[in-house]
Amino acid sequence: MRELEECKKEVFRRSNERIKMRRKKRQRAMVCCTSLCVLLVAGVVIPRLGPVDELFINRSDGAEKSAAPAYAYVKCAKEGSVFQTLDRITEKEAAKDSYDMVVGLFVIEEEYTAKDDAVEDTAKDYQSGVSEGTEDTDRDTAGTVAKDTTTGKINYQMGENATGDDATYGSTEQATIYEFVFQMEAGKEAEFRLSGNELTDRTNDRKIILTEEQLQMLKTQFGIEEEKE
Amino acid sequence: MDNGACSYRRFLDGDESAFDDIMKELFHGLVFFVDRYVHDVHAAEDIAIDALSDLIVHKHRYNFKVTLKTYLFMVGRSRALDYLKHRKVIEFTELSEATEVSAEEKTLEESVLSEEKKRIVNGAVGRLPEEMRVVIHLIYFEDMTYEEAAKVMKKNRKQVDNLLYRAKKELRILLGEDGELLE
Repeated sequence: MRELEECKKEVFRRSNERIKMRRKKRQRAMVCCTSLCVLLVAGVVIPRLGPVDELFINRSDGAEKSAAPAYAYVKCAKEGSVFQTLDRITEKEAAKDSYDMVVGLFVIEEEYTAKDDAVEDTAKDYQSGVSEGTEDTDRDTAGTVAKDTTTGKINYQMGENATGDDATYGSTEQATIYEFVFQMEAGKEAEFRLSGNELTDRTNDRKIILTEEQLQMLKTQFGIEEEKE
Repeated sequence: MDNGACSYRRFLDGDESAFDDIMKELFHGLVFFVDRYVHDVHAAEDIAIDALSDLIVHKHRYNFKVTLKTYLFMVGRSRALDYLKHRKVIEFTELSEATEVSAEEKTLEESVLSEEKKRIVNGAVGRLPEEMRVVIHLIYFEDMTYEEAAKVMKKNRKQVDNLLYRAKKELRILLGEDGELLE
């Protein structure tokens, strides 16, 4: 048995030892935690910062985006000069409708793939028979198409409204050229060109000849008639 | 009597001499109590020193809701059980050394148990099962209340009561005529 005084010294000695050990352990834990945090920040957080920003931007208008069109911005130009734009925020639905409509025209065209060759021939015939210098474009061109082609499906006829004037239009050289540019937020574009009754998908390099009805619909959609007036 | 709580408060306030009072008041009793478990005075002393150093290392672990004695005995018991659990080597001692050890134990017993009748009882207590031994020790040798003993043994008051009843019954058989000392 040790003396009480001796035991007391031993108690203090052990206490100091244990306190030192605790401090060491605490410091070690701190060092571990700090290095772990640094590693985490360097390895996980920093690489994710870029995508996180993108996500944040996308998420900020996520609700709108879910119902938003693929192309949110439309620019309509008449022979190079822009006459209408559909703003991406206020008129997204209109932009979507416009895009859907234009693309829809091509889809309809594809349904008649069997007659594609005939249509192209018609267009060629039509182009070769074009007479230059006509101003009254729409009706005249329609009339010509009716006169020159007999395919029936894609072409159209002016019928009673036809003036009988042989002046036609529809060739890219003569007709007023309209450009419709659909722009995505990310920057991707879809570009269409309307020249007379010929609609070209410049992105996919496709061409269709529109019927009178389709042409009218397209013009109404993009407000071309109003512009003319 | 606050069983060291007041001294410990003084020690926490910066009075180092207060720890002497705690040592004087509780150290030997704690060693004696731990020895009930470990049956080794040196190990018991070691455990008691560790239990006391806990008071210095973890200064705010003791919340003054029980007496310091009860708290220290709780720590001592837990450390003793831990010691028994992790003791792997069974030490063999020479007979001559064993005599020395028993002499040391006797000195400890004398220092803690001043009264003759307590010493007589202590001889018989050694032959009781562990839990009975401990409850007798806490109630009769350390003058703890049933509640304090229950706290140290991690039992409820009723369990301590029953254990003590059975321990006394056993002791009466062991002590024979001296059994009346327990009354």
